[in-house]
Amino acid sequence: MRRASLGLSLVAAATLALPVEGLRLQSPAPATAPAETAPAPALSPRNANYSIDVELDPDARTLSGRAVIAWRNITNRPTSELRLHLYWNAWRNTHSTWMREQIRGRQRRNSMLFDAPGDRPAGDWASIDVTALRLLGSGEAALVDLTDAGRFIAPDDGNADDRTLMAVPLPEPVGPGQTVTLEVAWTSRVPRPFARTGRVGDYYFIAHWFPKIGVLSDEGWQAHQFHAGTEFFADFGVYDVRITVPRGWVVGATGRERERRDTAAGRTVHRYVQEDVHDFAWTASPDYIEHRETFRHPTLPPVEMRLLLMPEHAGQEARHFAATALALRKYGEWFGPYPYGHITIVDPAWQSEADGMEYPTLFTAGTRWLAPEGTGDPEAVTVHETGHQFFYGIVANNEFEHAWLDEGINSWAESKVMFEAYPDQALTLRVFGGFVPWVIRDARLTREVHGNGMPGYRMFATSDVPSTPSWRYFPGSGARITYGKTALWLHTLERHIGWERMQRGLSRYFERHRFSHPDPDDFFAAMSEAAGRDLTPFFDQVYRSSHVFDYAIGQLTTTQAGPRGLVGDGDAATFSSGERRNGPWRTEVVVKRLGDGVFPVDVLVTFEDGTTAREQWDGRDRWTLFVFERPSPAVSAVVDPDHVLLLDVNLTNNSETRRPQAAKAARQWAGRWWIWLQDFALTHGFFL
Amino acid sequence: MTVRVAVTGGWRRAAGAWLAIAGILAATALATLPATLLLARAIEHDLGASLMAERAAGGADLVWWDEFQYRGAPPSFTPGIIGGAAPLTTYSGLLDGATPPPEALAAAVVAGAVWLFLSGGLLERLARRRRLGTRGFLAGCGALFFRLLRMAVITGVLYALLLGPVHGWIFDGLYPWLTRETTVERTAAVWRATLYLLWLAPLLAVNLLADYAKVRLVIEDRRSVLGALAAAARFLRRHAGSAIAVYAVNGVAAGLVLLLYLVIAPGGTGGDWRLLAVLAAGVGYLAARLFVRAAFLGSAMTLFEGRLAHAAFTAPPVPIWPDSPAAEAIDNAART
Repeated sequence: MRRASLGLSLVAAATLALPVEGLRLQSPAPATAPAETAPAPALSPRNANYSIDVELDPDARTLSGRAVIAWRNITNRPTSELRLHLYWNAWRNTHSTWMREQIRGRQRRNSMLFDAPGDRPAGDWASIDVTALRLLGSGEAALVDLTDAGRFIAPDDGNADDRTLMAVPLPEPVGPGQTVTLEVAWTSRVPRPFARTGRVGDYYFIAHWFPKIGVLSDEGWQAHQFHAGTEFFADFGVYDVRITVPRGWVVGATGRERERRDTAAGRTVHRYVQEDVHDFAWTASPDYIEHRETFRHPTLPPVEMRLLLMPEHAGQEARHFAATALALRKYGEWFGPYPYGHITIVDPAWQSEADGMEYPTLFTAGTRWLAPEGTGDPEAVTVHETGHQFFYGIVANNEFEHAWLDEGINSWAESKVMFEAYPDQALTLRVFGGFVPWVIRDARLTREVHGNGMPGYRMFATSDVPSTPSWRYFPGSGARITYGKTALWLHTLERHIGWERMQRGLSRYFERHRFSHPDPDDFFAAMSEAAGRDLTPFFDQVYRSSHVFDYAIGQLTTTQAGPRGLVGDGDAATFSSGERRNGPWRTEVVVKRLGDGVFPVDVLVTFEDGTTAREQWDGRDRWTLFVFERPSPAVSAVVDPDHVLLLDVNLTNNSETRRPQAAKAARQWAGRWWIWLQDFALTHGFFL
Repeated sequence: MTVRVAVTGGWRRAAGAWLAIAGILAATALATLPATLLLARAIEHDLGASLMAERAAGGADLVWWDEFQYRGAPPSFTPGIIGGAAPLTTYSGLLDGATPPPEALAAAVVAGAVWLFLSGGLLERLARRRRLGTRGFLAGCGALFFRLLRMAVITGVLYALLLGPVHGWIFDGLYPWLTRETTVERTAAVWRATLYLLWLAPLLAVNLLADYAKVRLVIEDRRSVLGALAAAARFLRRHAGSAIAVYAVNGVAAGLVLLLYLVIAPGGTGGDWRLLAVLAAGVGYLAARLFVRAAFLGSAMTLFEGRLAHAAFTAPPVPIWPDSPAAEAIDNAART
């Protein structure tokens, strides 16, 4: 073994296109990439580059793959090992950390897949087994076989049964700026869908499917086990992937298809290439119907939109394209342009559980056979996943640690887009097995509550402090914090500092951190700069604590009477009954802070003559008193009348009126419930 | 006795029993009123003197609704009570085996007990096709109550089996198995609808059997419920086509009533006049439902009387005596 060539190669991964010869390990052949595959100017560090051959065997439901990974150390520290994610081992059995957390959290309570995961047939589970692993050098002699060197590690919870993270010791450390080239072969069992990955019928959605190198930072490896409540993290690179599937099947994948050729075995090899991305997902099915449209905008680059639609959703292509274009336009105008020039929208098959997931330049939407317009379905999921191309795809934060940075920001932005473009979204109930939608047009959804997920957040407001690493959130409620709470406090911030500053802060954050891995402080800094003041106290409240916000009107009194009791001093003191009929009206408003969260709020008092008084309160004390002397009595008092503080978990107690309408409301709704209850009784009484 | 005659006869009987139907409607309303008043008080308490009450009174305000649910609203108090969603969610819950909300189940049990008692009087009224007066109606209720109660227990066991284990076997076992590799939602929906029918078939068969058993209890003044059920089964075996056809026609009528309500049911907009419209449409729908239910029983009576009963029965049809065999032979000879 020549130490000088122990796999430390400076060969650029973009030139590692290997010919496929089954799965035999072999030395890298000279690059044979056609001219059009010449890499585009680098937008990212491109330090994790993959050249992959993978073959799908639908009969055996397996994948056989081989990859050449060229990884460059872009940190300031050397590393003596590599870490590989083997995500599919999370679904190998019920002892993985992912499964344990899933069972603990019961996140998918309504899914039979997760109620009793142990009841799954053996063939429904997944696995990924590395069959060969070696370092590549500049020649045959430089090969170092590491197949037996890899060991599974569990840095997060010490779970010895978890096989989702492999540490591969290197014979020699990889120094800063050096590149190591690794060849890995593996076989995988494709599961019945877990976490949006797997197969049902002859529909395949394949994500997080290859041995994937973790992220090394100056602090060390940022590679976690696969957790039920969090997603992924990887470095940017160039992906050159050749996917072999049965002939006639339609393939969608990250990137553009550069080449397609049939083999003698009745199969077709699809070659997809994409630069400056940090993941690669693909899908294959004989059923897809392909549609294409182009997004055009006066100031943004054009984007070719490719839609792979399930036949039963024919007629919904315009809605998918419109929602995708809407997101490309809004996110592009607000934050920055989408740089890839193409995007693939996948309409996943029924039961594939693949809906609503983002991957670079590709995402899964999700619609239903019966999907009435005006209900936000499939528009919302399409906007959301398109939005992830910006926050996750381009600005690639660590989703293990700070999932809120992409999910929360994107939820906030998505709801803004959706409720601006579709302001009249109505509540939809799904009845009869969920197949039949029933739209209640009078029950309107609101951005403040439904777009930002207030109902879910309210239930789990104190479940976790958001600054806790996301993978440590309680699995059953983490999403409420990651998505809902973040969207609510971002929306609060938007209302607090104004849209202009908010947009400026987000676009600054996007521009600074595109094609890199920002952390929360990067975001906070950008927002404070845009706001023109230090927003740390706000972030302390909403991010670094699990405080609940609840301001309330504690008391509203308005009276014409003067002070009652002893008035004056000594012998001159007299008893006053307090009766005064012609004087001004004295109004006292007690405002309370019932939660631990502190936020400055306004208080609005409306008087009978139509005048109003607005006061500001810093919201710090547990209560405060406002006194008004006016010629007219007060009618009502409202704390936070503009509903700036969207994290307030109880809006009902935010106001008090001297003309209560509760009885009227009670009649309205108890009356309707009465009719429903009688109908319920008669339906069941039919059988008596 | 044709199906058409049986159905129209049943509807005439139901129309004649409008007062009894109105009484049952009122009793149902009264039985569910305490729970409703409790809910009204809970809503009033929750809203207090808040301005949120104005929003809630003005229509379906999901902001308040979500908060109220979080603060402990009855589980059944969901937007599913609005307009046409109300019966749909109820039927859907029944078909999908959803656990009924406890407060609704409690109210339904009370209403069911009232219905069980009053149905004796209704059956008497339908069978006799003449006014019974309050005393006669209540006498019928009392006379038949324990018989109907025993029948409810027996059929209740069958219903419990169908609603419990059989439903689970079909929808938690068979349905997932059938659709395991299905990637087309429409196909799954067709399977689901088919299984609904498969599950409903025995459910409705038990209901049909119970209806004819009630008919025989009343018309033949049977004391034995088991005997009535056996007699009903014999009758249905001999006249299955007609009985099912009559039942189906009335089922279609029930479906049309539901469909009409889905179209006209007022939504979630607030206001006193709107509330009046909600109540008027709702009561109309409930009355129509009860009328159709009475028509089911009335039609069964008409068919039974037309096919099996004789003049000595309590509620006989007009006898049409056949010609003598000799006259028939002469008639046949003349035709040839």
